[in-house]
Amino acid sequence: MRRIAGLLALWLVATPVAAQVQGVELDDPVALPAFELSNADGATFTQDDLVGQWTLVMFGFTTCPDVCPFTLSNLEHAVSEAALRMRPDNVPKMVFVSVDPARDAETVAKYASFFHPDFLGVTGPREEIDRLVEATDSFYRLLPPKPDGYYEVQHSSAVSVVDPQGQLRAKLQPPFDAGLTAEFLARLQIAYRRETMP
Amino acid sequence: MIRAAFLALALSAPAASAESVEIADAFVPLPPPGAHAHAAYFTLTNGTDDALVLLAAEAEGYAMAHLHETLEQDGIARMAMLAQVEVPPGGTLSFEPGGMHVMLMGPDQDLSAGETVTVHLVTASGNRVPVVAEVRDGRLLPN
Repeated sequence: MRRIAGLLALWLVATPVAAQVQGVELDDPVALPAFELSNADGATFTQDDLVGQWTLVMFGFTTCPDVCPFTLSNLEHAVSEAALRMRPDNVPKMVFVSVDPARDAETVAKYASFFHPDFLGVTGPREEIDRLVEATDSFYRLLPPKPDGYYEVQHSSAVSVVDPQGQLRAKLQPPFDAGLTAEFLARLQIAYRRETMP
Repeated sequence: MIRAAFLALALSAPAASAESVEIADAFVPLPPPGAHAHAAYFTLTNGTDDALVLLAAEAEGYAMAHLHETLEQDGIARMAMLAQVEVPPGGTLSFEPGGMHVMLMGPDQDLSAGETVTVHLVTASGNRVPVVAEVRDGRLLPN
């Protein structure tokens, strides 16, 4: 998160609840390197797929009982909200990247699409995952297995927002409130258009 | 989610008339087919005059269940197994998405919305508090 210095928005919501920051915009967009991920359905996800539309990239694992399903459900809600605020071709594509290919290679596609038919779930060789994790300033760690063989995976909770030029532009933060996250994305897109279409 | 910890310490319910432990709003979000782990959530009110100490959870139809908490520190989500959870007399404790939860591992079969999952909370005094959680489809929180 070192690159993220500026807060794009401190929402002054008209509720008694303290204002929540749903995302932060990077001071300078970061171009993402070449990578190739895929799933058991034969779909691939590479840096070329980032070009031409907005993309949300979340890292996680499918044996995650609480935070991954919670985040994906909230993001499904947020993307639906975003669709009410922006042109269809600006609605972000959601990609769930499993950092646990040993357990998830066969199931990650179905896992992601359970939350929305358009959500893409992928994983891949460790070095390909690591390249994308590093480039997005994200983090994960596989913990040593317990006696029953189960191992936990710690991972970044933030979700990367990639612009239509394939550049990392912002991070979404929990709790991914649907309305506020959609508003953040809509404002980010307006700022992007001002910058790229003078 | 520090909030869950605060709830454990700070929240106290109005004096419960019935001297009992009450479970409300118990649910299991419908998990993706084949998911090896998911979670149960509920609100527990300790209507007794004694502190209630939860030591473990058991779930029917699962290989394993644990009392768990999701912690987020410096932008990293991780989980911690809870060795015990104390609810003071009259206190209310929320197990909620992104916070404390009963981790359900190794389901015998896939769930469908509308089914129920029965979890037993094992207390330090040797009681088993039943939690009947409804499997719910859809978004977890109204937002």
